[in-house]
Amino acid sequence: MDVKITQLVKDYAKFRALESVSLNIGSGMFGLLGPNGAGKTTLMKIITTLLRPTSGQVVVNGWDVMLDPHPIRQNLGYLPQEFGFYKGLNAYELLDYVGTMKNLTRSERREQVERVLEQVNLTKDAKRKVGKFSGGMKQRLGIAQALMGNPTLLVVDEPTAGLDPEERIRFRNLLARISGQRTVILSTHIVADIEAVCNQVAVLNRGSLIFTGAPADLITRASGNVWEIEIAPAEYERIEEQYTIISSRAADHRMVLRLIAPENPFGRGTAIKPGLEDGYVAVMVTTKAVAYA
Amino acid sequence: MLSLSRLLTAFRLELRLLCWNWGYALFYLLAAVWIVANYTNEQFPQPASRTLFSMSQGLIPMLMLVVIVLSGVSASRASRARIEPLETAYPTGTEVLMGRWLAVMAACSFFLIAPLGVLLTLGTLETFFKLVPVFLLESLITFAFVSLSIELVQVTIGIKRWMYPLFGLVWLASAIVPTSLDARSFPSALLLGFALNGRLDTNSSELWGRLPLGDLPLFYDLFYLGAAALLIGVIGLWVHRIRRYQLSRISAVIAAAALLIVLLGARGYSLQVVNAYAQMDERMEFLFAPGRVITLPEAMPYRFSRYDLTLDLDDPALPRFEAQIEVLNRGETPLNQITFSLNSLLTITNANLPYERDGSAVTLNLPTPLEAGASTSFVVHYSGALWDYGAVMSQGFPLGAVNFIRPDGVNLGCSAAWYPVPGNIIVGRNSFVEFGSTFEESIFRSYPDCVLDEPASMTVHVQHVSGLVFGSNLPQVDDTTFAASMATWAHVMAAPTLASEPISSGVTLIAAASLQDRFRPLVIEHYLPTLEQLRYFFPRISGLTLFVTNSGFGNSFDPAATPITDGRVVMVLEPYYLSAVVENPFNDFLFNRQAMVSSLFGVSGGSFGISYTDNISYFLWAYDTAHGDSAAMRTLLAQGISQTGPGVYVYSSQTSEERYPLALFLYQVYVDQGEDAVIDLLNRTLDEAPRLNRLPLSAAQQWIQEAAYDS
Ligand SMILES: Nc1ncnc2c1ncn2[C@@H]1O[C@H](COP(=O)(O)OP(=O)(O)O)[C@@H](O)[C@H]1O
Ligand SMILES: [Mg+2]
Repeated sequence: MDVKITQLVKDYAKFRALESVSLNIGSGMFGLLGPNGAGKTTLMKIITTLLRPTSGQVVVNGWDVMLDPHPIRQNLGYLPQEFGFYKGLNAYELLDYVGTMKNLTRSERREQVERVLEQVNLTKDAKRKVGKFSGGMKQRLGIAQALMGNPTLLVVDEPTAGLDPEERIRFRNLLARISGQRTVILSTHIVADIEAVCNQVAVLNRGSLIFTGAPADLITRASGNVWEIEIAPAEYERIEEQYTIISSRAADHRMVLRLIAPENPFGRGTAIKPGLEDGYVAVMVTTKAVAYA
Repeated sequence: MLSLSRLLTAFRLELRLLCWNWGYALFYLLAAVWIVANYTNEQFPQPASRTLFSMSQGLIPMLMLVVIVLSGVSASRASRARIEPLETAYPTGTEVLMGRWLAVMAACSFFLIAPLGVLLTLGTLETFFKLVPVFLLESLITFAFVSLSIELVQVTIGIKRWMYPLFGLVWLASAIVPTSLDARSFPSALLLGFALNGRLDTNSSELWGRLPLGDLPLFYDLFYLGAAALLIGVIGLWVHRIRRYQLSRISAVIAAAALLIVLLGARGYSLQVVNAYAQMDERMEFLFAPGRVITLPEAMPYRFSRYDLTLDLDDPALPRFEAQIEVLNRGETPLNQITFSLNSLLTITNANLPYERDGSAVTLNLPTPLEAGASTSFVVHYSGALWDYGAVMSQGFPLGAVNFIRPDGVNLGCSAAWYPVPGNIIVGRNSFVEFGSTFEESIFRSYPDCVLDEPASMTVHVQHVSGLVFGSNLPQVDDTTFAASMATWAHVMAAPTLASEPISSGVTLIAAASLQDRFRPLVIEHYLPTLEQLRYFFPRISGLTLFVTNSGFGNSFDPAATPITDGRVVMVLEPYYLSAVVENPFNDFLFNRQAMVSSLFGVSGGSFGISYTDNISYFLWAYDTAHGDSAAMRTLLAQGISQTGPGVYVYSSQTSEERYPLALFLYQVYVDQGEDAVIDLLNRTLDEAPRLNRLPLSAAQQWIQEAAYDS
């Protein structure tokens, strides 16, 4: 299942949330990275037929979102960023209801409900009211409902936001496990979420696509630009003005900074091997620089 | 099929979410208890139709608020539960929405169970199945309209909390505005009063269903049925457009068809209202035309001494009549012309004498003068579908038609002038008031102008009456003939469910078959003993005919506007009055004894003021209650009749002496001269009644006082 996005523009009244986005998404896990407000949710809502684009085209498996939204919905699993359930139902009833809405027969529903509950590890809690679920359980149930009907396209919008670190790791693993042959589009503003699992990444910033490619390509964007430098705390402000600091840690009375710089900062830095986060920051910095220019 | 299963799933789930919680259960329970307590806690048994009527007026509008809340809760549930983004991405359409809406309808209709239970205990199964389907249908149609409106708000702009007071205001407006608008300028205004649904339309009767209201309810229902379907169509179009970016052909067809129905309903409704006002205006114009002279039968130099009337329902849409009438010249000079009144809605098709007609007044020209004391006869054929809008309007629109002939029912009171009445009377007028310079001197007659001043021989034949059972104040001779040798009026009533049942020798109860069982014991316990007591004083009373009919019949306030026929006392009562007699002694006095005496004397009951027959009734009440013991009678007359009990309207602050001077005088005669003297005096008074009825109370009283010492 592939998603072809061409020159997509979305305006909210006067505000342009997406600016001429073109993107091809093939099967496998696709990571959509971007800071808050970048337009990730907007893009996902358009792909999932919840929103109408202002202009441009989105074609999912040959179906245009504006002309043929129905077959897309039939093959779609969607976990929105914000959602809820009918609190009075238990997990089993809820999934069974979703199954009906997704046109499953009674026997298909029974089989699938049990399978997805198993997949998200909620079998034990199947008879509990969903109103009593914790954040992580709710998120897993969200994935479970998205999986009902065996969708070929799975769209998950910031699923790890609001989860504690342990839950987040478990959730990432869950996503990796269920992705299988489908196309999974996963949005996040946390680089670690995609690091392990995605074979393709896109970075959105302020409605514009600033990078698409494999995670390794994103890392390359930072190669030769990541430095470690030891400074005195008094120097910090001066350096921050000049460079983008990725991380810092204190050592004795000195500080060790990891930063992005086109050349060796003050000749004092040591070049180090970049990671995905460095690549992400690097493209963000570059576009900012472009924007300044 | 898949969408059907989604509809059912949505229905089941929504029904469960709506009803399976403490809030609903508690409210439902409270409502049910309140309904049962409120509508069964009556001191006296009411017929189902009356309870249904009051339910339609009070309960249905209240339930409409429940509908608003439940619809709002249901329609906004997905967005409140924030499951909406999930559900929007499912491959669903309008069917989910419809399933939920049906669940709302079910949850609302559960509130009708308690009222139905109450109705079931109030009447027979027959009554239940006659009245309830219409009640249910109309309630559900307006429920549907209201809940779909809320649904439309949700799918278009979304329901917010602050909107509920707004919905309440719309509800209130629909209850207040349409009735306060002038129906002449806005003939369809009442149509918009959905909160008052029942007020217009569920006024059913055991006898005619909703016949007395004509087609108005039909158009009202059509309008709201169409409106509900239109909402379904519009919601379908809207949802399809925002979900599929396409025009839903099915929804478009539904909406178009529904719009047509809405327009038809509104048009039919307003045409009827306009028509009704036109009829009333015509009547008013005629009444107040310059030079219009009203002449009552008593003022004519002739009288109709014999009526032979035929009512042919072969074509129920256009009933045909034949009136063969014998005229007697009771004046002193020869007659060239005979004027009589005939309802202007009835068209004369043929007459054996040349005639002129002006509204309801018809003047026959006699070929040769009719000598004083001589008789002749004439024949008129006429036809028309009588539908007495004027009376509807004069009673306050839209209450109930009074006189009508329709395929499914007939109600012909003499005030409709459905047969020739001597003179030029006001057709449709049920009572007569002639104001004197003081209240005392005013003359109140609550019987209509049509009542003849001298009895005639009257025969009514009915033909081609398939399925209808007839009843009349004229004694029944055979299946299709009613006749009396001494009658001053003729009333004919027919319905498929009418029953005319002899209760005992000389007593006939004419009422809906389903009410007979309820009223028979009341007649035996209350009316029979009173009749026997009256016969002791007035041996000429040969029997009693009790019509029990629904509101809208004649003057519904005064139960006794019905002169005797062939010596039979005739009373036309609403079921309400008949039930009320068990409630307290005063009601029994009013709707039983006084009504009988009034009928006997041919005057109004006490509702308009005090007549000499009130006094006679009061004396007789004391006599019967005290079994003739004069000391006990004195106490009773001084105390008055106990008026305690619910539903009693005390309209006088006068003392017994002020109110009943004549009764006290009769008591004096009884003490001084004995029982026979009173009986003699009362019967001489009865002989003189036609003249006394014209006099103010004081003059009538004076005549009686003088008569007491004549013998
Ligand atoms: N319904 C809306 N109306 C107006 N502006 C919106 C609406 N939804 C989102 N936005 C704006 O569009 C931008 C992109 O939002 P969003 O797609 O939610 O970003 P992300 O998911 O990447 O955080 C934000 O600036 C946000 O404020
Ligand atoms: Mg977002």
